[in-house]
Amino acid sequence: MEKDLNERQLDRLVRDWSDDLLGPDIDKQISDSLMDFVDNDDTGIDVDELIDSHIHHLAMEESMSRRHKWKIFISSVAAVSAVIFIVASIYLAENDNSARSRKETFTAENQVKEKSGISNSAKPAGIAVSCNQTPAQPNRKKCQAEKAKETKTASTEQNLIETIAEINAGLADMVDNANEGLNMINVSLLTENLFSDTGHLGGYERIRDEYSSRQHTEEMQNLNIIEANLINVLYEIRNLDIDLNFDNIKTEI
Amino acid sequence: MIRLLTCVLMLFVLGLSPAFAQSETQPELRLRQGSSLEGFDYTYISPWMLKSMRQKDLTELKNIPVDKVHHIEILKTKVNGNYESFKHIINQLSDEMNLIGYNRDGDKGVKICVEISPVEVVKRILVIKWGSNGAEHLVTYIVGDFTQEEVNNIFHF
Repeated sequence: MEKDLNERQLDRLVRDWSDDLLGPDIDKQISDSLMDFVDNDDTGIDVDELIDSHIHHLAMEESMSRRHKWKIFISSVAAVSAVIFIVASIYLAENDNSARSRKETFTAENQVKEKSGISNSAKPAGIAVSCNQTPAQPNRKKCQAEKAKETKTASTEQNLIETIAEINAGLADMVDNANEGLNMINVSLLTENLFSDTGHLGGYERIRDEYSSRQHTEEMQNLNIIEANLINVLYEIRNLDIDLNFDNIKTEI
Repeated sequence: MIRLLTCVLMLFVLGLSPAFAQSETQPELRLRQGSSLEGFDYTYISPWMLKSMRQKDLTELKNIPVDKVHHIEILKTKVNGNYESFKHIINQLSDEMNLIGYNRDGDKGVKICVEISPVEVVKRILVIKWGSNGAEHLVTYIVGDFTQEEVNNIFHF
């Protein structure tokens, strides 16, 4: 009787739980396992309680497994959504920049055309100058040349700034170390050497401009003294009033 | 491969160009040793400075063909100083050149020397002016390419 009851209870429990929670294979395995256990039981253990506990444990595991699956599913969906969102954002941002760039370039081109009197209708709409276009388009070379020119100009300006910085550093040393006479010669020599090395014509004028604009009064004063000195000397030579005789002079061999 | 060779060639040329530029434009400064003399003031007018000044102050002088000047050195008395050393520097330079003008009045005097090339181009002009009691000395050394007429104009414009 005890055994029948247990068997019925077991059958019901297994059937009920297995219908809801477990698949048919597991259902059969659990059923067989439990039936073997019951058939061979001679220990006096409360089989009902054991079975209830066991099935409850299985149900808990299954429930947890389900929740875990849901968590994995939700996490996966969230991760995929995040990736899609990021990719979409980058794509849209690039498109926006590209469109803005094309618009600005096209606007600038239109302005140039308006100034030069060229009609915009001569060119199909939508063709904007960009260095990223195919080599077949003529504007690409022009754009690249302009960019190269801008880079070169920036490089030249940078070189000049660095040169001025070197001169200023040299002048600072001279002010500290040399007397006034040496200061003047060194200003002149430093300028000469720097710009003869670079072959920069008009460099001296640029230095004067830089000194002036940056209010380097001491350096400007030195350069002014050098120039004034030369002017005075040439005036003095002109007023010497001396006769010159080129007769009977030896020529350099 | 061609690009690589081109880059190497360009780097080589760029590396050499400053050396050539410097050797071509670096002048020999004959009066520079006077810059260390006590009591004297030395000034060097570089070609770049002259190029800049041609469009400005120098043009009003009219007596000097600034386009033909390479560089100018000036050594003059600032305060009474080491006259013997000064005289040694000046004599060393003037001995290499030809005297074309001389005038002396007591302690004061003027001496003008030039160096002329075989094709009669004046390459160097040295003007020495000395004052009384070892003071007010002025030496001007002009390097360039001048005709004799242009040299005359410098002194008699």
